Amino acid sequence: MKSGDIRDSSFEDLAAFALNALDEDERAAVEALLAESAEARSELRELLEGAESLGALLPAVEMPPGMRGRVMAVAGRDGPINTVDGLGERRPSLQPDAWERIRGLFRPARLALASAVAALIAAAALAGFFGIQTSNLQQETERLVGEVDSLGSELITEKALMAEIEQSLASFQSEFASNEIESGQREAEISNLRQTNEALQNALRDQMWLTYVSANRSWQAADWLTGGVSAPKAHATIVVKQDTQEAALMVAGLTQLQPERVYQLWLTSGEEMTPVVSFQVNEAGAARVPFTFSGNIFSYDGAVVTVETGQNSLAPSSYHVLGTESR
Amino acid sequence: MNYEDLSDLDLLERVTERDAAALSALYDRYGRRVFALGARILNDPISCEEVTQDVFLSIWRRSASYNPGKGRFTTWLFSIAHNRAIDELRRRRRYGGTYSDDIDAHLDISSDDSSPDEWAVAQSEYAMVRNALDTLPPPQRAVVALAYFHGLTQVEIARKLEQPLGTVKTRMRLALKKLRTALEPRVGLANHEIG
Repeated sequence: MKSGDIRDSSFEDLAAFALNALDEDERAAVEALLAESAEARSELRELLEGAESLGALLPAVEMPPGMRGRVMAVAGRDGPINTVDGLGERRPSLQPDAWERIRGLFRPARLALASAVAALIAAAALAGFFGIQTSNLQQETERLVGEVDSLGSELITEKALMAEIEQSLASFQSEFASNEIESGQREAEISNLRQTNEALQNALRDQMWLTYVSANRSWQAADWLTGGVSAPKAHATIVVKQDTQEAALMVAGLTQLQPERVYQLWLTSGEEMTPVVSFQVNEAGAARVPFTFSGNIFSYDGAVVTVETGQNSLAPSSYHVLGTESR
Repeated sequence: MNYEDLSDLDLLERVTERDAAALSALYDRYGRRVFALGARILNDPISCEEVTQDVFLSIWRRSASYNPGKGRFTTWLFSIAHNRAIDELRRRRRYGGTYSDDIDAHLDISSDDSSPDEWAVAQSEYAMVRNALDTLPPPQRAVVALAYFHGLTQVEIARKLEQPLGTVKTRMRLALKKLRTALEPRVGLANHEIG
């Protein structure tokens, strides 16, 4: 299509543009035409007025209660407001450069006051020096005195305004500091909730896994371990899959150990203890520890979890935290 | 200062200077009509409130971009409101919404909260819009209604009415020109009355 054809086509699309009835490409073409054609802009103006007629003359309807306040609050949150007439939603927000502007307001008054005082002093000095006591000079002096009084009272008013603004700023800064503290507390709460959520998800995964192995006939619980004196809330389960000699220890209720220490699982047969696997627990005190074994796991008569000072200890410490009392 | 006495342009100038009271005055002047337009198009109070909020937030943010040389303030205002409502309608339609072909459903003025006087005025204004629409030949009325109240694009309208696209474009243009002529005195009066 030639550029002239595109231009004609876009001109024909002006009515649809006024009704918002164009797709993106057509709209872009019309916007390009409007940027260069005064005739198109004039035509669009008439068409928009036709479209406006439909909307503007629809009868007003009752609005939901409180909507006015909500609309104004949205605008109030969007940026600084110069007045709060009829709103009361927000105090004036003063940026650092706003102080310069406020001080600037005082400069003309200060300059005018200084000028008037200087003129008054100069007039008095001239009168004294030349001994001129004319009525004109008296009148001029009175006028200047009046002007000084007026400017002085104006300065007092502006100082009062300044004090009010300073008070607003102090209040705003205090509110801001309070919000910052609250924000820090919220962040800590969120962090706690995140940790709790993670622990719950781990627990859920463990529960799902246990449900799976419980429902699967090839898996079976080999041992249920209970906590000893040093870890009364601890408990654990060993589940095994005898045909592939896979197993897993699922443990909860333990505490996290210092970095150099580990938990270790042992299988027992009489007095003999066979080391199986070392592990750590997560923040929630839980762990799921897969391991393999040789032979028939049911040939062992129990299991024990100990605390060791290094990985894969060959001799168990006396620090037992979990164990099976009997088969 | 009594903001009610200020013209639209004076208020808009103050809005540009971040005067919230001026925005509040514009809201008092046009908020109900903006809400009404949203109500006619979306028929959902929550969406209408969102549209109305967006419109006045746009005025708050973009007041400096209004150019009186390009048209009346109300033309600009209702153009923003209409575009926002139609955008919402189209977004909703993409997620499986439907629309009614009954133009009276969009011009329905019933409101339990209207006083008898307001109801009478509403009836009169309704009649004026209806009369203006009635002066249009039905094919022109159909394309305007489908575009303005139902948010269909001109291509969708051509497909729906099984008419050539060029015919739809011509009908849209003629319809808007006639509406402007028919309703101009009332719109002009309305704008004069309120500022």
